[in-house]
Amino acid sequence: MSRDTPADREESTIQPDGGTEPAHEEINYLDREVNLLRPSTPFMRDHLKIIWSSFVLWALVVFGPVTLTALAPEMMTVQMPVLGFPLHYFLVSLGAPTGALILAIVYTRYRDGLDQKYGIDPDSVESTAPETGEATAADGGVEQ
Amino acid sequence: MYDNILVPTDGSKTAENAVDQAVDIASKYGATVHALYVVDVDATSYSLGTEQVDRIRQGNLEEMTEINEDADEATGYVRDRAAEHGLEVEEHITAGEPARAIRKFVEDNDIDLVVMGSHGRSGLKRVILGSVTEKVLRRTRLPVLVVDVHGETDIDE
Amino acid sequence: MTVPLQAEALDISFKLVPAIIVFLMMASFLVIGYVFKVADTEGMWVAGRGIGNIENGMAIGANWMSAASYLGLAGLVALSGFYGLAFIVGWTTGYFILLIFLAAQMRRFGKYTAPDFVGDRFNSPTARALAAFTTLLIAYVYSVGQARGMGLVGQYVFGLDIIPMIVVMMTITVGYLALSGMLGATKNMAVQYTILIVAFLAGVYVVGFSQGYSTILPQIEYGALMADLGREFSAPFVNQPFYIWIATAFSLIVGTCGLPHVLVRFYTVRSERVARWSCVWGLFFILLLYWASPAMAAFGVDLFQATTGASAYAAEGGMSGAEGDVIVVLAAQFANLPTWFVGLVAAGAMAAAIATTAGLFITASSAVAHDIYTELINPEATQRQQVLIGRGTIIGMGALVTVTAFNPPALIGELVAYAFSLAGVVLFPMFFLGLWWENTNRQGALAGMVLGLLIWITSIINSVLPNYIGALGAAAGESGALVPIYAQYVPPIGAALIGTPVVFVVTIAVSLATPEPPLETKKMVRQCHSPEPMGQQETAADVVGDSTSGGTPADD
Repeated sequence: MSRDTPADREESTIQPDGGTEPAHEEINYLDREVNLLRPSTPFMRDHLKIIWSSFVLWALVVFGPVTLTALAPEMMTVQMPVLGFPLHYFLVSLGAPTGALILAIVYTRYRDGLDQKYGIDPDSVESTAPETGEATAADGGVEQ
Repeated sequence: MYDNILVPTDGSKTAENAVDQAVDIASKYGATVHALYVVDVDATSYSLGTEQVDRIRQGNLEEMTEINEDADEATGYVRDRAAEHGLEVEEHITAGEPARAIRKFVEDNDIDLVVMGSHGRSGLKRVILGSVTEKVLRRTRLPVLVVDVHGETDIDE
Repeated sequence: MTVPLQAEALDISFKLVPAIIVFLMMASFLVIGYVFKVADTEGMWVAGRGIGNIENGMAIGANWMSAASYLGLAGLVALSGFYGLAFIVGWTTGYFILLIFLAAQMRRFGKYTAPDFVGDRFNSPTARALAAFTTLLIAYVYSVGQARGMGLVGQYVFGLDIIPMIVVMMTITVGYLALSGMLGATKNMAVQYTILIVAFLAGVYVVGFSQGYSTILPQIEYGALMADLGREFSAPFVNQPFYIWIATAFSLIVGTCGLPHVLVRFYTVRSERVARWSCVWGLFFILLLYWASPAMAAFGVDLFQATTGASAYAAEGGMSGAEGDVIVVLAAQFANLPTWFVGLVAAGAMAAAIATTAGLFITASSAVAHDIYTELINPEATQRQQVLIGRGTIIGMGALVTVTAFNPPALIGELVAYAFSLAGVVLFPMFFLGLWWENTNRQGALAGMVLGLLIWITSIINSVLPNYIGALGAAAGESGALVPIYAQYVPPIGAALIGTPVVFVVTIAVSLATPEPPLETKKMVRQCHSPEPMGQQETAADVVGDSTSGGTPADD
């Protein structure tokens, strides 16, 4: 990647796969549209990927067991061997809330990982206006 | 005799009423006028909720823009009056229970005189609505000039 | 015609030790609040102190420790069997949605209250007013549920009839509020949470252990008991059909994300990372109660059968609604535990209800004093005027809630669920669309909120009011609802399943059909998602203002 002149930096950085993407530091996030379905920056793309995938998992964990119970009550109300719960009761009263907690932990750690990948530290206080052409350290802050 | 005069203000007409007297005295003694706006934390908890009080306690008063605007307006009035007489003014903002905050400010700074407005309430009204001025009067050892909003002022313009 | 609310099986008499425990508990909240308040007045300017993940998480947990979680939940699980689980699922799993879609973004938006957000995001004083009105409604309905809990548990502790009980309790609440304006302060709430969860879990563990149900993990061990409890406890869809189960759970989930006093918790933390982690911790602390609550319900049902000889689900002599609502206390009573211990559990319930009500009243007071009065009517309002208006609102709300609680239309958990579905239908769409779709504009928001309010209000009129107003009751006839099909698909308890998507569609459609919001506003939305760290001192509006003016705001 050549970053010789400010003019070069205005241009996109050439990516190995042939696409062109501005590096994270050069994106003025205030100028990029936020769209739930069509992310406009690499960061949002990554972020929305985990949001949507964990949301789908959540929906399965929360609404799956009860829907299954409605569809196949005989199968779902069998008693569990050791614990004595009817299966559907266990999955709904313990499985769903605990599953949500686990998903929450997974998401938040993933999100922290995303911060690390982009070199963001929310606990640091930075200058407000992002200045193009001023690259922060390129350790992990560059789009792969 | 008076080098530093404190004018606590909450932006109300009652407070503004006292400013003329304060400025007049200050100009006669060449004193610095200190305008102090106290963010009433109890009021904040009723108007913005107690979570906002948390923010103040964390020292984040600067980020609360509307509160700062109110403070600027209140102390700005004092500054403008004082400027007409060519006096030195310092504007301050703090937070807490008003009477206690005023007293603390007086202790921490070299204040010689406090000039405050008063509604002049009596009886039941006084009991229910209270008087910051009275509390300040009783808690400080300094001279406190109480300007009743219903009184007459003979300040020559 | 008021029917006095009584939990027959409850031992109703004045009990000195429990009464003392209640006062001690309330007093401890006040004292701790006072100590923190005085300590902080001196150090008001120490910047850089922040509220940590766990502390804020406990405050979030404390927010949830209301009569609904403490009492009503176990009651619903006991009385309504599998349908009661919809409340467990609805009141916990919603936090995940809050986490991934709203918490961090709300933190970046900044501001003070929910109506603040709505008013500023949509550039509309009318939207602000609607949000403030919705906030008042939510606080009102939610508090009626708390008052019912207070009244019922108060019978156990103070022995008074339900009506004087409610009046006494409400007076205490309003008085408590007057003394302790620091209730919502995070440290305070962390302490409250600790005291309340200890009281609740002690109840579960001791009842479980003393009756031989459980040893160290009643949350799982109660499974063995279930065979003895009767079909109704666990059989699916016996009490409510699948649709109502889903509708209730859905409404509670989106309601969680729409409650004004929940989102406000994220404004006080240092950064989005703390906002996220405190949301996770908050869910954990909530689960500490929600894991154990069905166990308590199971114990209660079994003990009811053992003590009264009748099955809890018998048509005659079974568990009444009022008894279900206090099953947590009843279980301890039936287990023949010492009075002081039962009193401890009861005191926890009272304290939870009082603290929640106080918090809701403050939310209501801010909606009136700040959002309606200062922002819309009198921008020159002084702090003192705001205090007066705030206090007046609290007193008015207290009176209204007390009168309604004399004869509440439903169980504790159901009443609170009505408030959730209101939040889910009116406020959640505004928060979600406001933060995630930059083209949501003023007209769309107004249309959406008005429609949402209409949906919820008509649902209440349809299903709930016929019980109160003779003329409506006559018109409703058999089904108890004016328009039966509407009541079937849009019941107040589950109005959001249909209501929320409808409001989404309308808001989006109107926003598309009308001019886009100004670029400034769009940038504020983008700022909420931007990974650029914000100083703790900044709101989204500040950052946008800085970048467009190219410098720091001028000092005046």
